[in-house]
Amino acid sequence: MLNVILVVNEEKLIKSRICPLLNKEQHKVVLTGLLSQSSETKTIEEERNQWQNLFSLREEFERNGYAVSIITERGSVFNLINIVQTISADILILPKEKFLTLAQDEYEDFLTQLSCALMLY
Amino acid sequence: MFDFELKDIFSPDLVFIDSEPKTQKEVFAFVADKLKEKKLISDNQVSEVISALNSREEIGSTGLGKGIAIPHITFKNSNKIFGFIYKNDKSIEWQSIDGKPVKLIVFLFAPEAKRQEYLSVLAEVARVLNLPQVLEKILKENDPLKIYKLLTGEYEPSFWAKYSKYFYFIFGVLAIIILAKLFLSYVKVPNLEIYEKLDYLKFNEPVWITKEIIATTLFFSMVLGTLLFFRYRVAFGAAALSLLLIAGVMDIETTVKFMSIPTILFIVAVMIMVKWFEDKGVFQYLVIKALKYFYGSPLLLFGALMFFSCILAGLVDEVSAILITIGIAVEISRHTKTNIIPYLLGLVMATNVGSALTLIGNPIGIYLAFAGKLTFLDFLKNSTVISILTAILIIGLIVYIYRKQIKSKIAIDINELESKMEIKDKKEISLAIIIFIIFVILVIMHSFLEKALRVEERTVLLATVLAIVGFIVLREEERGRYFIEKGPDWWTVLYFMFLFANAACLEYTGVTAKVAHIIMNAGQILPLHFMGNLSQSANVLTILLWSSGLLSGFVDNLPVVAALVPVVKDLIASGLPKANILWWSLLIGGCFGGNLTMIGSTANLVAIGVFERSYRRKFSFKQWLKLGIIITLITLLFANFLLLIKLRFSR
Repeated sequence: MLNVILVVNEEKLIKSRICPLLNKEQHKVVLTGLLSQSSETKTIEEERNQWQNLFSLREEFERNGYAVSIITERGSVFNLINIVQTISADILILPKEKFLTLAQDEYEDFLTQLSCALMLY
Repeated sequence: MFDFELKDIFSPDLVFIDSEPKTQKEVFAFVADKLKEKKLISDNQVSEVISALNSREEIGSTGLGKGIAIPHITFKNSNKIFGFIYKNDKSIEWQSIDGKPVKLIVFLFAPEAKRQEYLSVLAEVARVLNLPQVLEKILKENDPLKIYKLLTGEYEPSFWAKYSKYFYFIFGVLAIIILAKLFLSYVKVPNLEIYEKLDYLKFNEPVWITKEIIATTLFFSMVLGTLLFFRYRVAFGAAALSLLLIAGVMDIETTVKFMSIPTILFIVAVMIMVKWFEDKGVFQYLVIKALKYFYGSPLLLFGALMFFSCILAGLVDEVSAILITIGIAVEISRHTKTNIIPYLLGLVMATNVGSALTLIGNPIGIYLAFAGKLTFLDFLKNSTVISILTAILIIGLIVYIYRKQIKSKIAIDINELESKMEIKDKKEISLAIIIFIIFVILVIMHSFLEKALRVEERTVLLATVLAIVGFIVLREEERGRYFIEKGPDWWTVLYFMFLFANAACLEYTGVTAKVAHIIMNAGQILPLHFMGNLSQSANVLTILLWSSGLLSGFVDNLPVVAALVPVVKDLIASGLPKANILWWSLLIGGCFGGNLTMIGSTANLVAIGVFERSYRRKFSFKQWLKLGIIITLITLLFANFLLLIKLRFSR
């Protein structure tokens, strides 16, 4: 089984682009939402929606027979590196908007530190 | 949209704190029993609830990481959503994705008909528990009512808990004003010829005493503010300086002079240079190559890594040294499945001791070099020997203390380690090594070259680093800006400028002359006959070493040293025999004292940061203190002994 970290952004995109690529026999999915560092920069309602999105996606994945876990992280995409290492992930699937939040000189650092394959959607 | 509040879902009666170790299944049985007791489920439903909770975990763990789990089920014959909070200080294995056991379990039970509403409640509970400030408090709390209030957002911290820091600051400043007034009005510079020559007698006049009180109050308020509100340290530095200017204690020209621009320029240039060396992977490459000779024995490897960290701290700086060696240690500990803590503590402590090796090992070394007009060779002759001997002593001791934890059955493959550390372009590394060697040679030779070129002292030192920065910018072209912007920690650099000016004002107003006088008198209290006519110097040395060492454990070492530098200048000016040795007691006290607590030096904070990010665990203050106290006392005692020998037998 390959460990896949799926950073959730838009439910529609996940259903249309990501789900067809995953196989319940081969992939163990770890859902995560990369929340803002401070709750002040994101409204409570937005955060609540993000969580609801995570749990409803999990239910859907589980209904289709996938092994799913949820883990959360706040702040920059750099914080995902720890999760990747902790669970020995094989693939990190990241919304391209999150990747684009990196500054120009941070791309290289991020890719160097990332110890698994990266897929953007 | 389902409109609800968590206080409608949870109740203080349904919060349980348990101290008995339990398995996941036992927790489920315990919770089901409690629900039955509270008449939330019937006798017949107990097994249904337990079975549903077990099935839920079989589909996928409900652990969310960070020690929390939210098991949630729907079941028949229920008409409302309700929650149950269970906390156990004994961790429970939960198969969480981060591999951590859980301590806080928030259960949610809902009727099948209310699936959508229950998803909203689940999301809200997860949101609240993921607010770091809430989770941290709940995990520490053992009062069911407070846990309930924290989760439901009804918790209001007490007025004192909310504003205690501000009260500490206000009371602290008042205490500083009173003590400064008492001390500075009472202590007078004695009417001696030497003080008359130095024009110190004016410091007894009322106008100067007022200036002294203002300068002392502002300096110590800045230090107190930095301690209590570290994030705003630049603000405190700036505020103190502006008040000194407005009060007329200093003029603009004097303020700029006291900012010690050459020192700042040197620190900035070294930071840029080190960033470039790091970027090229020079130090990582050198350490990995050197470790190849030691990989046969885990204990030898541990000792060697500490030794390299110590040497690297002296050659570059403590922060770079710890960043490089802790990265290697993390890989070794993961590979050999040994505990990282001995590596972390050992490496940081060796690094702090090593930062006194040379002029560039620590910002206080640079500051002392410029303030005391000390050369690189002076450092080699004085602090290097003491640091190396002390490092050997503590490395041996730390290896002995942790010998059982470091031994591993898994052999270390240094080639695998090398491949993991991703050694970069070897041509670039070679170039950077050449530049590094040139830098070391010029820095060692700077005093000779300055005499030969008939230029001012430390000119070659500053010119060397500036030339290397110029070379880096030219060679790196577009990326040159990256090194200039990212190399120096500009926030810290600005803080240093304000700190230096504030500290120098203590000298300018005569505060340090009075402190020096007190220390001189204290040095006469205990006659040390074995020191001959150097008894007073020996006592003063000991007072400065221990005061700078112990204070540096709790306050950043730079403010401590910056405040004591003018005192040393005054002690030298007062004619204390062989008083130049006091520079070394300040340097060694400031560097070695950093081992006392986990906030004692920047290297400690950096290493803990790497540890917490890599292992997602918190490092406790107590855990550090256990070894920190032993190592600090031993190193300060040993250094004190060596300094006394040096004082007694040097010419």
